[in-house]
Amino acid sequence: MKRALLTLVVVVAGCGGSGGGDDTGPDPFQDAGPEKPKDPPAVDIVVDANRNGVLEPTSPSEQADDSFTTTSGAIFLANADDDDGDKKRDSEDEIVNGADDELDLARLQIHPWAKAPEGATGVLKVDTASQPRVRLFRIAPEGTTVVPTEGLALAAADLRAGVELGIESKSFALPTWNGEVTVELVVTSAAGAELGRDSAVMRVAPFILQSDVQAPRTVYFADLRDTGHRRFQAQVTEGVVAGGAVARPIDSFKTEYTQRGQPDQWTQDHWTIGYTSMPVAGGVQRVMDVVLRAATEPRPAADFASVELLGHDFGYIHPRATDDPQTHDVSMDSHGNLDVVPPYTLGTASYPLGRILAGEGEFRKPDQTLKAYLEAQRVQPVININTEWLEVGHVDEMVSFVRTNGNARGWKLFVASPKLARQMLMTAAASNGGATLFEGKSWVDFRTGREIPAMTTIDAILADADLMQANQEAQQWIDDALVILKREVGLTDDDIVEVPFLYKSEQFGDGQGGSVSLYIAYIPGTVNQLVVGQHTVPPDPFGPVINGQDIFKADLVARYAALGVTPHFADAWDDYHRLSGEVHCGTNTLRDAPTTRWWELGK
Amino acid sequence: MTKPSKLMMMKSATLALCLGVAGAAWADGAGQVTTPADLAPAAARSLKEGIAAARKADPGAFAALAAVRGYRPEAYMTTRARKPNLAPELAGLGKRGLWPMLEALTEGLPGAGAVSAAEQQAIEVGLLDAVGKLGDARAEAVLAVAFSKAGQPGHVVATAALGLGRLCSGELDAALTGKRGAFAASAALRGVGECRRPASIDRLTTAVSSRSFSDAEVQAAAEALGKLGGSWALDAEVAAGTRLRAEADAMKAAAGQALTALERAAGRRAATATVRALRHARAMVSAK
Repeated sequence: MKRALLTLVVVVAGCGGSGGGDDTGPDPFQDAGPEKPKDPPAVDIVVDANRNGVLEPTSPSEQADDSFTTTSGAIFLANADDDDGDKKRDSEDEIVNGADDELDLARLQIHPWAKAPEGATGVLKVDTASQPRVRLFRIAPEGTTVVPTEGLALAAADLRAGVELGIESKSFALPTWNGEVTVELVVTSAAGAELGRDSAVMRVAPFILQSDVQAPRTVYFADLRDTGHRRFQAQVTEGVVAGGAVARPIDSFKTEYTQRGQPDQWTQDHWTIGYTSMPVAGGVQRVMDVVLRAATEPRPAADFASVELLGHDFGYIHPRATDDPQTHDVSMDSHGNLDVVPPYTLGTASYPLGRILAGEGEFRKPDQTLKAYLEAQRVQPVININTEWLEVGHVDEMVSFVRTNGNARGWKLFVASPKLARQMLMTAAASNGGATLFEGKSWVDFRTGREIPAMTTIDAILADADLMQANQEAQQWIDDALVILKREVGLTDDDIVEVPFLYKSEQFGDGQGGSVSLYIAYIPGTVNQLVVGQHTVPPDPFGPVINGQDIFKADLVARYAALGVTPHFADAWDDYHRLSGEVHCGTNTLRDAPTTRWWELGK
Repeated sequence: MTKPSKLMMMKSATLALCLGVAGAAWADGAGQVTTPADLAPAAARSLKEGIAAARKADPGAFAALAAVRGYRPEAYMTTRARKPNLAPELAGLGKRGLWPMLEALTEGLPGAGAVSAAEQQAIEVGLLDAVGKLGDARAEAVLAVAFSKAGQPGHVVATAALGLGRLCSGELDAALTGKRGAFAASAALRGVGECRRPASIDRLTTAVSSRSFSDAEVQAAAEALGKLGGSWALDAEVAAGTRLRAEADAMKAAAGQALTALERAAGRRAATATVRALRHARAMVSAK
């Protein structure tokens, strides 16, 4: 927004025939060809409104800086990374932490006004709501210094020479702050008359979550050191490497990561890696990975995010309201309950960065602060499905998304299907009812107690009325979720892959004065899989073995192959399945950011 | 999964909180939901004799129960849900767990020591549920007192009702009338759903037609009908040879009719959770 209050001064300042300082005139975007230079007004804040990474005071598209649209509006970063290795986010101090940190600052400039009258003074300030949220630095040959956001006083000499500035945000957008900042410069004469003013709008880049169809870079998982777990790690690594990523075991026995002397192998639940980005020179998207720590109760293993992930171009955030478990279900706070529906279009609505998928219910809910925080980013509206019927309560217990061949979307929803599992067992029972499942496996005794054999047969499962009852109920809840996903995403049956396994139910006190049946995978939940490209690592289902072949595994291999997907099964029984989790629960993935530029989405 | 109304839950939660705090101070008393003194003399005597005989015949079963660890933080904090849960271990005890678990319900779980309110709740729910699932009539007296004794926390009432339902016990009948309040009635309705007999559908039908139900009661009745007429469970029983196909089909049909009456009774005032419970039940009794 540029207003020349004293036309005479503006003209004298050299705006020539271009009508500098006048925001009327031809639309600078009518012609897609090269822009004609346009002299800036005398009082001018220059920001990278045309998003090409360069400050261009004479560019008409750069001068369109008074709003944030799909085509214009400057961007700056929440400086959530740690470029100087002090294990603090760079936004937590008032210095620029080296050359790398300087790259995280978006530039703005008070354009030199060579003919600023003697005695003129200026005040540069940020809008009141944003003042505590952002930090401005003055960049000068003698050094970079923080300046007050509530008012930087400028002398005539400053106005004549121009001022170079950098801006960072201390946070991403919040429910109480939309992340849009108005920077305003007001210049007055020695006598106190206003000589001109200018303002520019900038928006802090959002925190964006990644869907599982994005290319993987690194897959993290706990190293529990024992032989059985090392075998699991090797199996996971096979899939990770096939998917083009690097496996990164976490030393889970590090004292600072243990709780009561025990490791915490639920790596998925501790944090999620997303990213933020802004345009830099050449219009290139500069990406900063950002790890979002889960809003769970203190879990030392989650410190990995701040201890080992936080670093250069790797930010860290931990939004949460309260540690009071009465306000939310702490299990639902885990990030196995936070997924992303890959990009899609439905009618006139387009979601090029996908939509966040979260689980909650009427009686059990995760920390609503996180949900509000994610909604505040504006680019990935949240879809909720009911997961309160599940013991753990996570979306990854019933759905996953995999890049596939064979449908227009390029990805499919994989969904748990007790119905298909039962059908397969019934078909197999016709001639092989005695076939065994879970051979050699035992249920949990928490490592030191008794082993409870798990082996059973197809006939025994199909004759277990309680188990069948529970699975028919589970199927109802899954069908409810599918109704929502079909409605919100426009999925057709062709976009859905049924993944057969059975749940079991157990009775719990509900913490609210009653008791409730909650469900957990009985046959290893193969939908709860690590997705790395078109390779997946599902848990070995240890399904019925007929003629030497696990029919559940064989089914998945055959059906996945038709979709161009290769499963690499991992034995997750001892350390995950019988402790209420599977492979996805035990892994976490750093992915390449999509090429989609969030600032072009109009959200 | 359906739940009682929020108001009822708040009341119950208050009660549970009070009892939970008190319970946390019990040394070696966790799991105790009643005492032999609450039982009728004959039942108390049978209990005492049963426990003594079992201890002599199978002392290992008592030791195994004492070794259960699912309520201990060092155990359940390793699980993904991080909730105390005894179900897998207690199920693993099998039938030999009956007398040790009845003893724990009347004397407290040996070795438990001081536990948190959540852990105590898990012990109580775990023991009651595991005992109920054994379907052994010798547990009825303890379950009945657990269900009906004044001042019991809601989770005890609700879980004991499921066990009584497994036994097709008449101890639920009084609560079905609503005279013990909507919470106990809901618990009893769910309990009836555990008694897989045609007569259970009649009991529910009678209850539905006898009075006006609260939303929570409609939810509970719908769940129960879904269980009784659920095609997968009935097919399982046919597969197991414990029910004839014709009887299974008749139960499905009867449950469907009872559900129609329940849907009519619920009318348009039903809450979201009630509508969902009715929809789930309808799907279950309609499935082939």
